[in-house]
Amino acid sequence: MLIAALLALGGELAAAQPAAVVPQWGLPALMKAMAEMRAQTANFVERKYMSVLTQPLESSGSLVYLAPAKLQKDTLQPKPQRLVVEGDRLTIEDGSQERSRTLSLADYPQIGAIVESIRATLAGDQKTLEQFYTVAFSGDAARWQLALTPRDRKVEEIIKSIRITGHDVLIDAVETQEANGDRDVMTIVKEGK
Amino acid sequence: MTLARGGAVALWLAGLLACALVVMRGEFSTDMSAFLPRSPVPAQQILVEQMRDGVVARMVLVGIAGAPPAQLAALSKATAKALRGAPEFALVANGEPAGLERDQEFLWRNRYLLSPGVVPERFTAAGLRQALENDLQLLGSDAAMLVKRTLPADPTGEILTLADALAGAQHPETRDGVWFAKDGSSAVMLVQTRAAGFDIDAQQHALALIDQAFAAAKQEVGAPDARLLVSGPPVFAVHARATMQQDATRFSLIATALVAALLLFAYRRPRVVLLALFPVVSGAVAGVAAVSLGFGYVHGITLGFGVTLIGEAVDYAIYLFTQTVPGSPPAATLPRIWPTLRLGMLTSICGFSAMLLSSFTGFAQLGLFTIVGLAVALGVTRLILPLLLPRKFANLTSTVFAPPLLVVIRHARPLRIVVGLLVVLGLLSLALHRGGIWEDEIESMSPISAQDKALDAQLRRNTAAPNVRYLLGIERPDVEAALAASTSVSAVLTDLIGTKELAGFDAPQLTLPSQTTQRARQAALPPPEILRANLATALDGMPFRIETFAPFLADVAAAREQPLLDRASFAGTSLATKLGSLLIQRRGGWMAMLPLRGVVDSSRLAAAVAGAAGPDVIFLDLKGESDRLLETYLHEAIMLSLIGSLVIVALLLVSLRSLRRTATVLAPLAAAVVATAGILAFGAQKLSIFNLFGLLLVVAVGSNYCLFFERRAAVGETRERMIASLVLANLCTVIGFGVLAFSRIPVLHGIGETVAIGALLSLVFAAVLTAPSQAPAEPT
Repeated sequence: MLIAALLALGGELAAAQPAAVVPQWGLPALMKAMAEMRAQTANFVERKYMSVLTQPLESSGSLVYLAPAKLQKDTLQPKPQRLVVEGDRLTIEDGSQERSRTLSLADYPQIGAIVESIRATLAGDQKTLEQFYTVAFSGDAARWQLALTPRDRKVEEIIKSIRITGHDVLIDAVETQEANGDRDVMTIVKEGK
Repeated sequence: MTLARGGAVALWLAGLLACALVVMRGEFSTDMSAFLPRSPVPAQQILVEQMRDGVVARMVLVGIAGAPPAQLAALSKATAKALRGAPEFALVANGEPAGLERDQEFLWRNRYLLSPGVVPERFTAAGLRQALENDLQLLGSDAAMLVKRTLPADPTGEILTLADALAGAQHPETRDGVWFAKDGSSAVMLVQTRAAGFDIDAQQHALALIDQAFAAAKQEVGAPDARLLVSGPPVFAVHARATMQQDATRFSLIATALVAALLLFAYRRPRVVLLALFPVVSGAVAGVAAVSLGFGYVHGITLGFGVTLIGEAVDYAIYLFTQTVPGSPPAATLPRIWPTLRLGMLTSICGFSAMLLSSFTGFAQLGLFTIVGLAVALGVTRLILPLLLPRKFANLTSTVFAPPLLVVIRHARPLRIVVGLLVVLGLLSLALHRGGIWEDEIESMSPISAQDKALDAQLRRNTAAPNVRYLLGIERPDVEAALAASTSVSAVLTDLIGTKELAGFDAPQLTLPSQTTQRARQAALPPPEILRANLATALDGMPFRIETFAPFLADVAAAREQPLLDRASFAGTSLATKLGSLLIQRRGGWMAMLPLRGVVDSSRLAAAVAGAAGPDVIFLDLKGESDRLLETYLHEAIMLSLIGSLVIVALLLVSLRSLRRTATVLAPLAAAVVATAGILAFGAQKLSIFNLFGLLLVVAVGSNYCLFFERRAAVGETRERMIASLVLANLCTVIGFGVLAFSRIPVLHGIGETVAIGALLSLVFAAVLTAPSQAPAEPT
């Protein structure tokens, strides 16, 4: 992907953190570095490949993460929409903001699993991450990859696997492989780059 | 003589046996709504019906506390699972999807009949195109999860429309997959029993099942400290009955024992004590039999009042025994005291007869019970007791009873000032009373303990159980007509939402559309070949694969042919519960109920609805209606008390044939009533309707004392014996009613405390105000 080549650098605080000093880079080190990062803002492009469709659907917008539990996704194209996860509550607002849906992640374990794949990673919350997934780490600080396989059978019915790639404390891409063969690829670029 | 005597006793025993048979075959009830009025106002009728048998009356609120959240969730799940398997429960909701799966499945299967989005335009090529474009947008968005699975079978999004339409209900927060109180301290659950609210046996059984399920869950989860909290109308009903049974039994036994002990102390002969109880027992049995025959059933509270009869009916035997001159047969005493006894009984009956007219079934039963009981007790005292007493009947052995009252009589003049002062203080206590003097909260009448009420309020908050104040009700002969009427009223309400008079409402047809609506929706679905063609046209130029929508074509074809839904179709879903509360079967037919949310101005709204929807729509203000209900009671009770008092005055005037003598009898009574009311109301205490009826009984009972004092005939020893009999009788009354004052049931407690205080004051005041003027104090 061309966007994957545009590797963004630095969270606001973590940018000052010289990751290279850490001699042995593994999952615990990544999680530790992530846990120290307080906030992050980036742009994303998401492509959905679905069996019911003859062509992929593309959308784009911005992402905001605030430690430890707030995640906000503002889709700007093709239609404005805002998704906010705060604690256990997930809210989806239409661009008009007249209609919004709020749900509890505990009520929808599948949605909860998808949210935590990104949020727990950003929060450096290894315990939560491993509660939902079997985590396989590979790579180093300059280019790492997490391969997540759902533990819960119900989640497994929807999601086959999630692959998160990144460098330092930044996520570059999230690729979700769904059980029905559909695929979702989100590439993330630091804002302003 | 012996033959006649044997005959009379045999007749009495036969009568007693007959009454006992009636009592044994009779039905007993502890349904507290017997103490609700048979109101002619439709809105209040609905209110009372709902309290007896509505869905709300079958809802048990359950809380599980005393363990970490994860354990509470596990306990909630295990308990709910056990209860879902039991046929006694119509609904077990604890937030688990397990409880909602059937709902979701039901809505999905019947979406084309239930969704308000099903109109002909929706299934034209243009309508489908619009729906598909919307779907495409949704798929591209973060809400994709919501539509992805349902898209192939439901491209027009009927299930989402339905979910939105039904989303009004509030739910508690979910943690670990089950409902929790906001503060996380307890897991909460709503359980609805199948049995009606007034079927207390069934409710008790259901509550025992909940207990068992929880105990088993505790074992399973391993949380020995976890606590189960239950509340709601079924719990109240079961508790009230248990309390009532306990109190009625316990206080009857205590009062009987105390009275028997007192009599034993007075007469020193067990046989006399036994004989003194004969009139009481005969009266009680006859009274219960009369109520059973007159009303078809006997209320538990009425039985509780057996106690009060002990307090009063035992007086007759006491008067007979105590006033008998030593050496003379008791039969010789009767002619002397009979006129006073008879007038005393008639006065009591007049007082109690006011209760007969009460629209509270409970009070009417009490009235009948007491009237029959007193008449029979006096009859047995007059006709049977003299036959059973030994010829050489020794009278009162103890001499402790008369002296205290004799002292009072001797110092009557200075004591009059004290009585006057008490009356003034009583009047002041009533006059300076802050706030209304009458208890105007309907809650005060309920036998539910404050602790139970607090728990209920807490669980109700935690379960987000709706607290509806305003309702519309429309009654029609059948379900279809009720749903149709509700549909047209809903249109009016929707307009009122538009003008911001109302925030929202619910209505039965939103859950169960009328047959007409369902048929119209079926008609809106095109035949398969047309739908297929429309879909093909709509898909032209879109990125969807046409074969994706095969399930949609199949489901629409099936929906066109499917049988229409009725109330029975909802069985097993939580929607059935909701429907049951919105569509109610009544004697005259079916009533649609429309709970209103966010009413800005109730009178303006009521007027708007009446103007647009017709006059037969009942606007129900639950809070206002309950308050009006109590107002009605209170007004009625005051009227009945006044009528009762007037009848007593008339009776005394006719019997005594003298205004002055009547005034002499009534003065102590009036003083006692004022002083008693003052004492009860002292310190901002409110007087309840039960205190009011108690005051009426004070007049009925206290008049006996005044009548005896007022009699000129008694002098010397006879007079002293008369006074001893009054003191003893009064003590029995005070014991009987005083014991009731310890009851936890407001009606027993209220009447008990009032009569105990009032009867004592009546005797003392009669001694002070009436006695000396008729019989000058003896020389000392």
